[in-house]
Amino acid sequence: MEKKPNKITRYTACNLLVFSLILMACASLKLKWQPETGFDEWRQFGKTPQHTNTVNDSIQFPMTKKWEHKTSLAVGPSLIAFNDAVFFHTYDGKIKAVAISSGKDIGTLKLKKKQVGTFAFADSTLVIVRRQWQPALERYHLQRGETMWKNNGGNSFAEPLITNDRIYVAYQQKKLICYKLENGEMDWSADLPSPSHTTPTWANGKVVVGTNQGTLYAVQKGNIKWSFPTGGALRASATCFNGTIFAGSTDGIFYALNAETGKKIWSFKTKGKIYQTAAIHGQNIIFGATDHTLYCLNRRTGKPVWTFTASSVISTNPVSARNAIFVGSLDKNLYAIDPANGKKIWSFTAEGRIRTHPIILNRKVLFGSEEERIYCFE
Amino acid sequence: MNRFLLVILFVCLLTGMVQQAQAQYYFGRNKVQYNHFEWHILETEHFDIYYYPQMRELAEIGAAYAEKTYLYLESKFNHNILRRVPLIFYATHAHFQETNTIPYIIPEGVGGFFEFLKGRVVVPANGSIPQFKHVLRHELIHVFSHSLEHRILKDHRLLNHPGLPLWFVEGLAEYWSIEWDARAEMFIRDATLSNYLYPLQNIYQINGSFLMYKEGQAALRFIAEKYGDEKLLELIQNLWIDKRFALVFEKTMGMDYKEFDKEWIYHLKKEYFPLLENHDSPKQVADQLTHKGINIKPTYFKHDEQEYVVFLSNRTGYANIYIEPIKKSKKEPKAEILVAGERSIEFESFHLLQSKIDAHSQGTLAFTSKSGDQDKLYLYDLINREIMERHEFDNLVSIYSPTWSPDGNKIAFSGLAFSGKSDIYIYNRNNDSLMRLTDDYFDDKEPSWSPDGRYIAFSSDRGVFGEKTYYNLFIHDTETGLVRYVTNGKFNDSAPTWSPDGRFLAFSSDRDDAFNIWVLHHNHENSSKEGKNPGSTFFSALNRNHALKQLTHFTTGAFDPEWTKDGDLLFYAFEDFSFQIYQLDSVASKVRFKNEVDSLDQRHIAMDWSFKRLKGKNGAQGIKYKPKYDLDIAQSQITQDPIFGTSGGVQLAVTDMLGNYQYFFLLYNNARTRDEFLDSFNFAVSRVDLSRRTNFALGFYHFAGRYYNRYDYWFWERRYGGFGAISYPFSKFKRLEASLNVRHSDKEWFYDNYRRRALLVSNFLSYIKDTSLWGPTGPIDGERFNITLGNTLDIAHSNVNFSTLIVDYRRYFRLSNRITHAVRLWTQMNHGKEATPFFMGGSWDLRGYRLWHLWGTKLALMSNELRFPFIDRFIVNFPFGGLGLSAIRGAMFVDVGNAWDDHLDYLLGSTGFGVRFRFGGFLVLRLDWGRKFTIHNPKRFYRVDKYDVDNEWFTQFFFGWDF
Repeated sequence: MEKKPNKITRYTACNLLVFSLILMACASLKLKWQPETGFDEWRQFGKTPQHTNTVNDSIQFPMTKKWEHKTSLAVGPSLIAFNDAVFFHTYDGKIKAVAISSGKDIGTLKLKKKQVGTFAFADSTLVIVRRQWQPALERYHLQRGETMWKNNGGNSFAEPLITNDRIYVAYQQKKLICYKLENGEMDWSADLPSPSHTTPTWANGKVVVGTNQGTLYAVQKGNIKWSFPTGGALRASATCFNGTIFAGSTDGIFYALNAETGKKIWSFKTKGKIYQTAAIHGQNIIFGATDHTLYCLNRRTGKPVWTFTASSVISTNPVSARNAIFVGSLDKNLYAIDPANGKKIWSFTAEGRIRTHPIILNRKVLFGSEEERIYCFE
Repeated sequence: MNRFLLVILFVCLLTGMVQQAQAQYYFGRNKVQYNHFEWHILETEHFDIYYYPQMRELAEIGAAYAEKTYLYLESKFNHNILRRVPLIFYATHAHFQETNTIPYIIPEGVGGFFEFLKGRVVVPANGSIPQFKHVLRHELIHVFSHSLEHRILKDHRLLNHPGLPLWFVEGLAEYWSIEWDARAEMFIRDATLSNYLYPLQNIYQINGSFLMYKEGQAALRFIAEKYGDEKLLELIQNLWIDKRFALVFEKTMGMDYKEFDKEWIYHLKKEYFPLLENHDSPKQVADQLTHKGINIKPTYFKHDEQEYVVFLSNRTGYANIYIEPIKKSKKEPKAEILVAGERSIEFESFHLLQSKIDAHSQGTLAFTSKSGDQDKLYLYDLINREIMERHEFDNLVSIYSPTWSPDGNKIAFSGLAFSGKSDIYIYNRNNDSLMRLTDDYFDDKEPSWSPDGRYIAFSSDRGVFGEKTYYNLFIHDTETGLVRYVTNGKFNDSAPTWSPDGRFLAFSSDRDDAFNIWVLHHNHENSSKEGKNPGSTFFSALNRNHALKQLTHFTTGAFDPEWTKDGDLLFYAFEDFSFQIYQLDSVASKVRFKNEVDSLDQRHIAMDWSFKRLKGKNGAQGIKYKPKYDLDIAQSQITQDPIFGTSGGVQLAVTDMLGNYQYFFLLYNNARTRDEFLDSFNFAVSRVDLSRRTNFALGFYHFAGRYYNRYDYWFWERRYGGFGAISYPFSKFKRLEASLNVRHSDKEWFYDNYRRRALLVSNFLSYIKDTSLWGPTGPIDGERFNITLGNTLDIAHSNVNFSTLIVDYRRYFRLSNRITHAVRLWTQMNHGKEATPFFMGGSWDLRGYRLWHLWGTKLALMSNELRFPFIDRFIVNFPFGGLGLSAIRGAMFVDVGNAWDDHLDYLLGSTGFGVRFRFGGFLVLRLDWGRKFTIHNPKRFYRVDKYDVDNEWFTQFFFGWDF
């Protein structure tokens, strides 16, 4: 008896094709090349788990604009980059990748409508924290273009910290949670007395977060080891270097604390509020404040080395290269400052205010402005 | 009056399009430009400051503070403003009321505003630098919050977002400009203790009210103190999350309104209820003399053994000066109006919350009033009840708080000059001279004469703490000319007043967090030991011989103490959200002896601070203002109708920064077929000049198309020509308008194919008066009328020649505070060749009849309506929420009238009952029921038994204000 054609099979094949096309349309962020991990990458907020915002490169001046990429909507505050791709999120619920060499689109990952995503890179994957409207923590494989795992998260206003195969996220729900990178399982959780807006900082086995009540906490395996109160809400993520925690507060004071004990080593008062994370440059620590000023202090003593004044609020983290400090301001300028004396070397005026932290990769400087632009300079 | 509407309606009137709608708008009070300011611009780093030369110094002070505030707010908001911000300064509130930056009449209670269209901040100084700074900072907070809000919504491309709620916007502006002060404390204490505080979930019910401002400030203060200042910024930054701010609040705070309200209100109760242990309600410890409305600024008068209190009150809605016998009974004795305010140019405003009044023992009352372009000082005979004297002073724009010298020959007052300086002056009646005691930018106010005539005490910010905006008391020695401290500290002292025997100096102070009455007196034991003269009327809290005592310990606030002959004190206090007048007897025995003396003894004033000034980029001269124009309104519209066809057009309005010069453009096409396209272009261009007292409008237009009305049926008409109009306000209440319109008219009636051409010249002259006081749905007091004469003549072909008469008189008889009998007498007549018909009928005039279904070249109407409260509050609760309506008013009416051409054969009428409800603050919905009737013999309209009444009830629903 002749076997009749399998209608179900044809029907299923059509459906599968359509379904695959749909899937491809939804999850269209896919790298065609294997990411090579190395030193030259900016894989998470602050570049390293300690948020040093430092690269070992020297930048040549004058810089010229390599490309300018128009995005679909306003760009979020953080970029990450590795190899030939820079990743950013836009406020229409997308995570996008653009080729650094050309400025062309690589792909887009659509989140749910109105969701905001912050993320970090780990082993060919993006770890994404989805905020608002069904918040979630997700690990997304960039080559396969698929979600490896996803769990229910809370609302986090900051980026995740990834180190030693662990993910650390501080939540508005007054929690700091550690997850396993491999499968997203919770490793431990610590209750915080107040919500947190900061990205956790790795400090020699402890995780440091700042809270809305203005207190810095060092947490180890779910236990608070020490706390340090400041006079205002903490919005800037801390920096850890050589056993010292550096953190600025909205009380306008920049603090240096012993990473082990949380005791204050020194503090420095500005005339504004501090919202941004610092950068390390040699013996110095550099940070910006709302009083228009970029401060360079001696790391050990807290004594001022130099200051630079912009025309408006310093609105991004500074980024330290060997021969220049890059920082953005609400006056629409990205500045390059001489780390030796605080003088301006170069600047660029964008279309809108600079609200996206600049990053440096392979001697290229990438940053965003609020008029839906990503810039690449070299 | 909205000038934009005036121009457009003029054009429409002349094209016969919306004659009836004009009746809703052709009244209105006037914004009188008494002054033609020579505007200059001072450019600073972030601002363009508009000022006039007389106030140059003040502008520089404002400029310095504006730049300082900009830096402060830039850090506070973590945000900046990318455009230059226009600041428009006025030296006095009277000048501020002349501004054309907004079309509305500005009430005296408005301290300044931020206008969204051009992003302008408009602020008056009015003599007080601290208040000027407060308002400037308040408005700049609006600039920043508006910019940040706009940025956040743009980042998320949310174009239709309603934005931040008003309570938050105003609460933030108030909290971040002054944080918290005794006035805010007073309102919230009272609201909590008297149990009328609105929780956040119900704050929409008091939207736009002063209480909403203060509650917003209090709620944000609570959030900032408990959760941190950054939480307030977070609420703005999360605005994109949802259109409903309640949800944004919940996501940001981690709790909804209901949970927050529990926490907040509990906190307030915990804070304020314990005060009752050591503080009093004014009602409980003093005799309450007034009960209804706002009653303030008392002064004492005795005649023929009867004591009186003379005071200011707005109990009827108008602010008047009242006199009332002082009788201690539960029922308030009847207060009599001495001087009626807010209805005439003479008594335009008594500066209700700012200026005191003073009665001399001889029976003369001194008070001030805005009268035209400047204030006048009035002396009023309290016995004969008539004005005795009027005085105005060159270069003094405003006069506040006159006070008699003991001998009645001099009057001291606080005068506000054209430059914005507020100083103490003395007017001498004997030689009609004016002497200036102080001359600086410090705010000197509320002078008071000592019983021996030697000293004048006053309140001022000139002291060492004035830089932090504190007002202390000072004393001017008329013999030596010296000014000395009476009080000195980080508190606000005001309204000093001597007792008749000179033993006490009472004043109001917030030094214990609420305004209370304090008393200074001689510590006779000490002074006699040291050989000091115990009879001296000189007081100083800084003198160890003088004792300072707190007389009242109210939970809320007490102000403006005034002594009676017997040593009692009159004052006004705040409770249950109103100000009432009280009397406290036997003050001397009530003063508890608790010395508060500062060891510092200053004999001379030490002004340790001065105002910082900023000259601007262009140096001392500034730049002379030249008008530059921006687009204010741009709207387009396309309509399609199976009968009327398609029409589309655009409307633009451009004005200069000061709103003095306005251009309007209208362009549309109403062609029904392609052939008609070029012939059916309609445009109008007009220019309005509001810079001077006489307002001008000029324009030209072309209108062509098919039209329809019930009189002409279908017709086609092309009209093109030009017009000019002027408007001259005599005062805020009366004006004269004149217009000339010259146009070519080519008209063809379709029903009889008649076509005529004409060169029409129309002249109109109108006299308008409006003193009406408005309630929620329409006027409730006063009167308004419009008398218009006109003529339209065809000067080329004699095809048209008719005269026009319009008389529209409306009077509102106040039967009680909430009940009004409104009367309208209205006639419109066009008489002559091709006289244009008028239309009537509908909810706006002859009720019960179809809208505009009665027409004729003449019409007349008489309306009587009784307006009364119907439902004060109406709440319906559903499982998913609730709906609340308030201020539903009722009406009973009788309308009689008709429209005719040659003979009035019968009158039509209607009578019935209606309800009106104001929706959304600007739209009034009307529903009427009644019966129609006909009067067949108009000459015997008084014979009600001859009326032919319809058998059926009519129901009519429409919108629009009461007439």
